[in-house]
Amino acid sequence: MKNNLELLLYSFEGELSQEEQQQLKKALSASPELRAERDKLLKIRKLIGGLKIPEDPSFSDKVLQRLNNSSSKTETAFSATVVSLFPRVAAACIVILLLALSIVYLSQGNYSTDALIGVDTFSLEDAYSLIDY
Amino acid sequence: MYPDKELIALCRKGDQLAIRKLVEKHQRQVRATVVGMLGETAEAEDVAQEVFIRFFNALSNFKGDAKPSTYLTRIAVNLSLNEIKRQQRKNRWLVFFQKEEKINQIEDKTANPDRQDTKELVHRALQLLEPEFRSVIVLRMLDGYSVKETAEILKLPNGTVASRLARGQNKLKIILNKFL
Repeated sequence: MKNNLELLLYSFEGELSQEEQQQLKKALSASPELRAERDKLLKIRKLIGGLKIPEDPSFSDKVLQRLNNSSSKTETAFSATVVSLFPRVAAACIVILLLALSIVYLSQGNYSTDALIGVDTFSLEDAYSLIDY
Repeated sequence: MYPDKELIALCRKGDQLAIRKLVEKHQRQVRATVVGMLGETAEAEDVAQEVFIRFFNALSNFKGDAKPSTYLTRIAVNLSLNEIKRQQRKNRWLVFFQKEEKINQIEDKTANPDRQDTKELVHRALQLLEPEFRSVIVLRMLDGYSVKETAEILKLPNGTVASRLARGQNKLKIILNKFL
């Protein structure tokens, strides 16, 4: 159940039922205080509705400038990221390569081509049997 | 005046003239929302520009199911709320004292209504509202959106918007009481 002030506040938005509208109408005709409240609220609505934002003729220029700057910034940022990441990626690749070579040496004892590609224990007969299979 | 649909299609192709026209068409609404939320400050100017930057950068996600003005207003409210949070974090320890000071300033001004600038007074009063009340008041009373549109923009139920409007107006009445 809304009180009279709530009825008044909701009435501006057309949010009252038929019954509530009747209740508010009665309350308004009976209460000068409520009518004064209504006038204050109407004044507030008028004041806010009347707030004018001054024109800014250069606004669209500023937006376009920022838009162009932001797209060139994005490109620059991408290039900068690639450049800054390159030494780290290169160092990581070298470490991985060294690790792989160490594993090959430890397991095979040499760096022959067959050992590097993992076919040093693979004979020609094995290949033939694979084909037959 | 080009319809929004055509402008959007041209903007997607990077047409600078179309971008300019779209900004010119919607800048008043966006600036009104942001200034209503943040007051007439340098931050408000920055946020209003940022609204369009975000809009153009997200054009690929804009499916056209809402009007561009609604979409822009939603971005404007969200960015303004972010800015309010940023300012609150920055001035965490000063907020209470500032609020007291602002209320006193309004009371001082209302004591001499002949000298006061009504517009500034209303802006100050709006800034004293909590952001959830401020956003519905700005959208409904300053921008002129209906309760249904306001609910759609803020992604809230109609009843919540109506209730916040009622409570927000009552708070404004209390803040501006001496002036009315």
